[in-house]
Amino acid sequence: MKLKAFLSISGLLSVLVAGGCVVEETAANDDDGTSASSGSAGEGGTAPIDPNQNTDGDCMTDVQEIELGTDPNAVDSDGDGISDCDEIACVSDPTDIGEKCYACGWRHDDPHTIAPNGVAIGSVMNDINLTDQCGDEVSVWDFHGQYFILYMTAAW
Amino acid sequence: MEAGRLQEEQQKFQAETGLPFTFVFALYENGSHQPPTPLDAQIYAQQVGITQFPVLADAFGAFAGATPMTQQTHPEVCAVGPDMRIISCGSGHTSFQARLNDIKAYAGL
Repeated sequence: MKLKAFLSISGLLSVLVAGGCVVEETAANDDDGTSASSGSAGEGGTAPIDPNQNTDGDCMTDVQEIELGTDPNAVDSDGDGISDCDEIACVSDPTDIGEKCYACGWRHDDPHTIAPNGVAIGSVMNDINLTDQCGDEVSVWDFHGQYFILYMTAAW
Repeated sequence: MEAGRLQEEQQKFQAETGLPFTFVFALYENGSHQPPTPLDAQIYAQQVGITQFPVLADAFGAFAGATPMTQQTHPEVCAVGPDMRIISCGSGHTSFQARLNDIKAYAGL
């Protein structure tokens, strides 16, 4: 997953899972919405990349956006109506139009490399997508990476 | 045990073990013994006071088809690992305590 790779490789952002999501900034992660320079290359020339360039004025520099795979020229790279930075804060993939922040605040994980293999004890369970109390369709695989107790019950 | 108190159990277990942990509720019948709608999940979460973990409307027995459980009794409880492996399952209102112990054992605690 690009987001997770970015988080682990760059060390620029840390996500606190329990109790919510927090984005930590570092000095290199300019969040003031301004760029350090105009950054425009001369016609036909090749200007050195300004590490502080932030073309779209969001929470990431262009270099960070390129590393993550988001569009340095767009605040909302995947066009899903939620900004890249908001998606990172809620642990959603800013490059996946089909993945948005859950209204109830659950984090996304997306264990793309696992495969379900049955329903017995010891099996990797199938992904299940059901609607939660906030009206979002939730993937149970988004709880990958943490232990959970599946509590199946009736309302009566 | 009232379902709402499971939030306290969640916090207690996290503090005790340091493991990332949550409950995931799957509602398979509403108060009228009918398949639940998303609105039923919302109402149930509000009535019980669940805010820290999801309540999913499982109208078609999706989890019964994904675990050894049948949804013929309630509650039915399964512990699942961070690798999405089903660690153990059981039924009854105190079954979650055994599942918490199974998680500890699975985690080597």
